[in-house]
Amino acid sequence: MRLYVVFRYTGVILIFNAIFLLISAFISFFNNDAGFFPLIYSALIATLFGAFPLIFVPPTEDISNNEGMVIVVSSWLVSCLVGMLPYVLWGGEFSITNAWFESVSGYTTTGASILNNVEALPMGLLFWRASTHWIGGIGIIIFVLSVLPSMGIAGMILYRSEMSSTALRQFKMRTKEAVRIIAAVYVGITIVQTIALLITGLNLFDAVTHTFATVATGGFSTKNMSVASFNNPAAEIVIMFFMIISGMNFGLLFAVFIGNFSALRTSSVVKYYLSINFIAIILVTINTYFTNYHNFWDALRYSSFQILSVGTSTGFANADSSIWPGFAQIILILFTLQCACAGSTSGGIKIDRIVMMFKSFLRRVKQIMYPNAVFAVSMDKSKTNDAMIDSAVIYILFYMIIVTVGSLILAAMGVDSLSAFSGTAAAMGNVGPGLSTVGSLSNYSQIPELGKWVLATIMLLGRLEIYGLIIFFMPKTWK
Amino acid sequence: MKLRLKILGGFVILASILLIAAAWSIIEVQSFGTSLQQMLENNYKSIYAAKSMKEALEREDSALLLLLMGNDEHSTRILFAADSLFTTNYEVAKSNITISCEDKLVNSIERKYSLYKQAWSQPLNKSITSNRLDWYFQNSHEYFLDVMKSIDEVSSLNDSQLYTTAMQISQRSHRALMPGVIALIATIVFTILFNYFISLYVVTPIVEITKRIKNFNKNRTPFDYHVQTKDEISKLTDTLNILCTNIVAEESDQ
Repeated sequence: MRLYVVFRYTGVILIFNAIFLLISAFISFFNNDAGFFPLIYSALIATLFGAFPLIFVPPTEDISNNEGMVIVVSSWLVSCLVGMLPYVLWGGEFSITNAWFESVSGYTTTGASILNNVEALPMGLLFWRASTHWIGGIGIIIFVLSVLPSMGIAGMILYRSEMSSTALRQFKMRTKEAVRIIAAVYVGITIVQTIALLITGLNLFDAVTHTFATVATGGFSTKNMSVASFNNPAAEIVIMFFMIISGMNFGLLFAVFIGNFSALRTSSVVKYYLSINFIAIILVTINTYFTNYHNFWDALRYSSFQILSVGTSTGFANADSSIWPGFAQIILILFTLQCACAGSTSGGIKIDRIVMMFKSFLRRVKQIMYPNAVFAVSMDKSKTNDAMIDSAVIYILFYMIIVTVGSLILAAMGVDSLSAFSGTAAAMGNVGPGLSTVGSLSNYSQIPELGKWVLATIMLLGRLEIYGLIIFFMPKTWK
Repeated sequence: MKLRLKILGGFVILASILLIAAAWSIIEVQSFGTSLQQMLENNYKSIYAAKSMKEALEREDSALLLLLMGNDEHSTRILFAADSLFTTNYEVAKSNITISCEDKLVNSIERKYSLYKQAWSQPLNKSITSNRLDWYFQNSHEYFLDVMKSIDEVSSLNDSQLYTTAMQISQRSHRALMPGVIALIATIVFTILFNYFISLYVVTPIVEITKRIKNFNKNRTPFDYHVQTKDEISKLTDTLNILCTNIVAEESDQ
């Protein structure tokens, strides 16, 4: 392991973060708020620490897979560390633990907050909070690769280390091209949604920050009551539409953008994604209509928003789902575990793996019925090898083990069982809100300090799809 | 980049982290002091004036009761002294309006006090001869309570502002402290990083060059050492490579 290579690439990531810190500092400066000094000092520290390895370490394209993995994980960790600096420096509700939690939650696009009063934050800090979502949304490395000139083999290794194997399946092109497509789709969606939200009546600041949180499927709002505070059905429709879009594979979206609509029609994952969300909305609407709202349109409005918010791992709220009946809450928990498509900004197990596991199960049933026949699992007309199916099943298994262990740890700290389980599942799936005390209109401030560290680690495990963080901490990696 | 520039760059970064943190802390401590001064001058001064006005008002009320009981000389002296005390403190409060809406409350004190004063002027002019206690409760006491209420309002307004400023001071003390803490941690991390790079790109090549030169000198083992960086160390290794090659060539010629 050449540590200096890791330092060099992590330095680039730090400078990239510093640019966004600087933009946030300018917002604070023009707004004349207390966020300016914390943001500018954090930007300075990030720049200095980022630039220093670039001065010493000569550029190198030749990096190993191991080094690539370490660079990716350390980039995430260092970004989260730099991300917490403005919070710690500003103070208020931010202790060291709270700042780390908020920063990790931002970068991993979880959107779980410890803040009781979000609106007390200066404008610059609110923008920074939303920026962490946007940077983390498509992955810091992907973002940097898309703006930097070609990095050759190093770029390819970093790209493969950052993207999950399930997502890579969808991008059958050269690294630079794939990265450019992802970034173009990401920026394109951001611009279109900002304009759409402006049309619905949101001011520019709220439109941009809520767009950042939507396209990254994050969920940080600038309001204490999240999207509910706007009480703007048009804005909710826009956000819902873009939550669905952001939950789809970006390669597929690009194909649609260049006129290949059949890619969308033939994708079994997209079919499952749209139909399962549609069915859930219908079921929850009916359930809440008879118990909570007594007005069909209200039930439809709140159910569809909450289902799509959780189902795409965004985490915005326009209603308090903690008071919904058990049936609706169980559906929300299932969606918290599943989330949206691979190759999107969404977290969770991901629909691709669910579909793969389900098809593999059907193949097993057929195999038992016809022992001598040979059946293959195919995803969108391409055959999936057994290694990939094994990988998906093992991932789902470990995912559930982590959720269970996390829930047990939180419950042992005195957190009620529903909050512990839903909170852990929401952290692992990078969804944000859970149920009960960590519900859609609540926050994580009452979770014990140690519990917040546990949840932040789980968020990182979920964002790095388990393996990355585990490999990073294995001594063998560092030899 | 030259080695001396790299090292200088490292020290400049280190100094920048510390200097900016120090400057920020100084600014915050300075504004901390300003807030404290503002709190004392603006709010505490008004609260103290309100307290003195209440005290003066209570003395006036007691003196009025004494006057109604017939103790003319003593009560008149107390009444005028209390009135003077009230007016002095009222002027302090009036000249120290620092919160929005405070001026309205202070003006209402003046208005209500003049009504109260008009009321206690009547027994002073001997215009109340009978049922003096009834007169006190029906005319004077109401005005007294009204003035008291307005003074309380001014006092509580300044109290809440005092609390807000105190909270701001607490925030400022945090903001004055944290840059120092962050700078300390950053300096430690940076020093480790700096040491690592100096060791990797300066010390290690020097040690290796020394070892190879010794080997060359002893056994004529080829020097053949190259570094990736383009600085003085790389120039040194290139020069030594040429020197060693020339020595070997000269020796083979001889």
